[in-house]
Amino acid sequence: MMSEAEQLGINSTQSMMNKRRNTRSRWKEFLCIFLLLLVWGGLVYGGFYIARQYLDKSINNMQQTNAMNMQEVNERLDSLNLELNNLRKEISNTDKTLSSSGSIQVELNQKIEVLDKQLKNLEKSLNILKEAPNARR
Amino acid sequence: MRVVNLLIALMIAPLLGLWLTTTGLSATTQDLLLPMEELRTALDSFQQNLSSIEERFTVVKSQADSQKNQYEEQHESLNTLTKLASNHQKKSDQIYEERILMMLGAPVKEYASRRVEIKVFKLQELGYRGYIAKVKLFDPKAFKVVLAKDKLGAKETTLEAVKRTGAILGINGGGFYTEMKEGKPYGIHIGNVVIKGKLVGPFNAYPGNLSFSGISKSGRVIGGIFSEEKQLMALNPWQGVSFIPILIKGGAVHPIPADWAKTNQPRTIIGEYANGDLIMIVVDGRQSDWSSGVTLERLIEKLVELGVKEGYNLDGGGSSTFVYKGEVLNKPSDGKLRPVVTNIVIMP
Repeated sequence: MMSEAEQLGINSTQSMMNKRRNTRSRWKEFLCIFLLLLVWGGLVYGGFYIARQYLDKSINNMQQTNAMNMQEVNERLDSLNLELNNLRKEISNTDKTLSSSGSIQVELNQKIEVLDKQLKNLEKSLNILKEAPNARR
Repeated sequence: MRVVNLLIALMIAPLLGLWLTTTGLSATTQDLLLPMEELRTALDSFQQNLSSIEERFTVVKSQADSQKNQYEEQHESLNTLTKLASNHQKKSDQIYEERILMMLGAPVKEYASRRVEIKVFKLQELGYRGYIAKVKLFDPKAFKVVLAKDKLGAKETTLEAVKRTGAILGINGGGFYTEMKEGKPYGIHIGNVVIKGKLVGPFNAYPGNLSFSGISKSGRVIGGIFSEEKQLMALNPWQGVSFIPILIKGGAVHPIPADWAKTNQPRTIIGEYANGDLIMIVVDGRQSDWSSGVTLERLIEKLVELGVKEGYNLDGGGSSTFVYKGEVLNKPSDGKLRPVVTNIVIMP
């Protein structure tokens, strides 16, 4: 038979052991959560890294493609611009030609009037000549 | 264990998001690329339109150039034609002048200035002699009708009128008569006299057969029988006198009164050629050893032969006088110069 004192001592020891077990179990659990969080954080970071790399690469590719396309578009636009400038010059030259033609036409009308007057004078002179004294002989 | 499952689920969530993101991103990035196909199509279309415009414009430019060349050629042709017409006109005028001169013979006197050109010819036909002046008026104001001493009622010889006015050439003018006023002879012109475009005195149509002859403001010979002042003024007369009859008008011989047709007399005539040159003729008469004078019929024949298109008889008889540069060239029938009321002078 154990004395009461011994009984008390045993209880006290068990209680101590239980406490220690509980403490260890908590630590393990805490450690486990910590590790899992660490792994989760690593995965998040890794994902972020991969995604960033992927996005950067995609954007770079896209920028490169757009730059090349823009270069092509610019070259085409430059070519078109050149053609438009040439056309503009041609239009300007033709405008001058037409203006010049217009002024020549005005001069032509004046010349026709002068010629008409001159021809009338000539007709008058020829009619006079017809009346010349020798002409009737 | 529940916590572990939760954590695993949490771990899977970002991976799933990552997978979804990367999967969807490829499609999204394609949308961010420039729509090159559309751009190429638009640029190709623009290029085609531009090329089409260029082609059409080339045609327009070609037509504009062609038109300009045609205009320039026409301009040149017109210049050439105008010069040719001008040369032909000058040639025609020259031939006409040569033919007139051929009929008149060689001039015995010549004068030319900026305002007038005068050529004087001798007229020598069977039975009569005289002088002809062909006058080319560049300035109609060189032709003047002058009243004797520049006043009504006075009389002076043609020589005096020429010297007084400083004229180169002078012939006697229109008809006149003399009446006594306050014991003094007073010369009165018959019919109408126009000086510098204005009638001297009131319009006078009496006796109805008097013809007016002179020049218009443009220097052409005008004449006719006028019963009203407005008929005369409608011709814009610049200078002129009156007598009888009209010999040739508009190229046609005018019928003349019988009593004027058959008598040999000294004559003074003013007329015009078709080119506008004036002709002034003075025929001497009443001098059997020199010139018997001429009938108007014969004179008309001579005028027609010379090519005169307008001819008017002026005061003749003893009044007929031809003065050139201060010298009386003809031989007036009175044996001396007769003072007259009007004279026609040509200024230098």
